[in-house]
Amino acid sequence: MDGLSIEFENGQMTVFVNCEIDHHTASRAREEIDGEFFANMPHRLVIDLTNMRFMDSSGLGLIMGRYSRCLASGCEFALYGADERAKCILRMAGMDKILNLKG
Amino acid sequence: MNQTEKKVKRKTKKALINEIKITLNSDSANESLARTCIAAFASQLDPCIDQLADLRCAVSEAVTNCIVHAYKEKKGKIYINARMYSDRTVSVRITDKGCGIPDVERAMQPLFTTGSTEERCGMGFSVMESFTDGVSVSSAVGKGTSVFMTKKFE
Ligand SMILES: Nc1ncnc2c1ncn2[C@@H]1O[C@H](COP(=O)(O)OP(=O)(O)OP(=O)(O)O)[C@@H](O)[C@H]1O
Ligand SMILES: [Mg+2]
Repeated sequence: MDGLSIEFENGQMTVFVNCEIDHHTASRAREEIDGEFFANMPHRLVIDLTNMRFMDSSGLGLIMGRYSRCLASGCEFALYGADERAKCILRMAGMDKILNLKG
Repeated sequence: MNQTEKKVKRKTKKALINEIKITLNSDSANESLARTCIAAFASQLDPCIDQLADLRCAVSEAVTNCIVHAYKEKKGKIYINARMYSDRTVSVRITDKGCGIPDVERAMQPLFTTGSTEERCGMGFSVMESFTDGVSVSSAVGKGTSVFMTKKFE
């Protein structure tokens, strides 16, 4: 998918989000991330939002969904680069207590 | 209130300075089109980037709800009407003729969702409320829903 790039290094899978995440793009992103996740079974998943231009509650759903997927398969999860608006949305859902919002 | 007070009130009433109406099909590709259009409209006030991004996000939530909840697998129209006033407020009304909401108060509570497919977390209305200055919802089951939001650009 355009706007999403995935890298692997030493068992860590990093997803760089370079596009807008809304309901329209979230389903494609979800398919692609989960596809790579189950094919490679990383021990750590990082979602990097540094270059994400927009997200709404569908982005929140995408992040929460990947987090619970990790929880279920004993994989570490980290989120990087959330901007103030994304952090605000994550905070509304109480995700700030679960994730340590880095960067 | 006496006559003079009434007159003063009428004089200070905010004036409508611009208006836009958009009708869109309930295709998910139109979510970004809708929020981009309304942000472009509000840009006429030369607002700060952050406040504009807040409005963009709130519009995205309401339009997505029309597609995901109101029409579901069916197709329908989404009606958007935005107005700009002399006091630098923008109001946006987003209306659908979909399934309606049986209990609006409950639907607006954080984490409440009827979404079963995909990953809905029930935070759309909370996002609209925190990124605008006010959200009101009217709905009738089987007839549709109308979401009205206002935001003041400082
Ligand atoms: N336009 C609408 N037509 C019918 N039902 C709606 C509409 N908008 C919202 N709802 C109902 O209100 C609930 C809450 O909406 P809200 O946007 O807060 O959360 P969500 O859409 O379920 O999840 P999220 O927005 O976090 O992905 C929805 O699950 C749905 O039942
Ligand atoms: Mg929603």
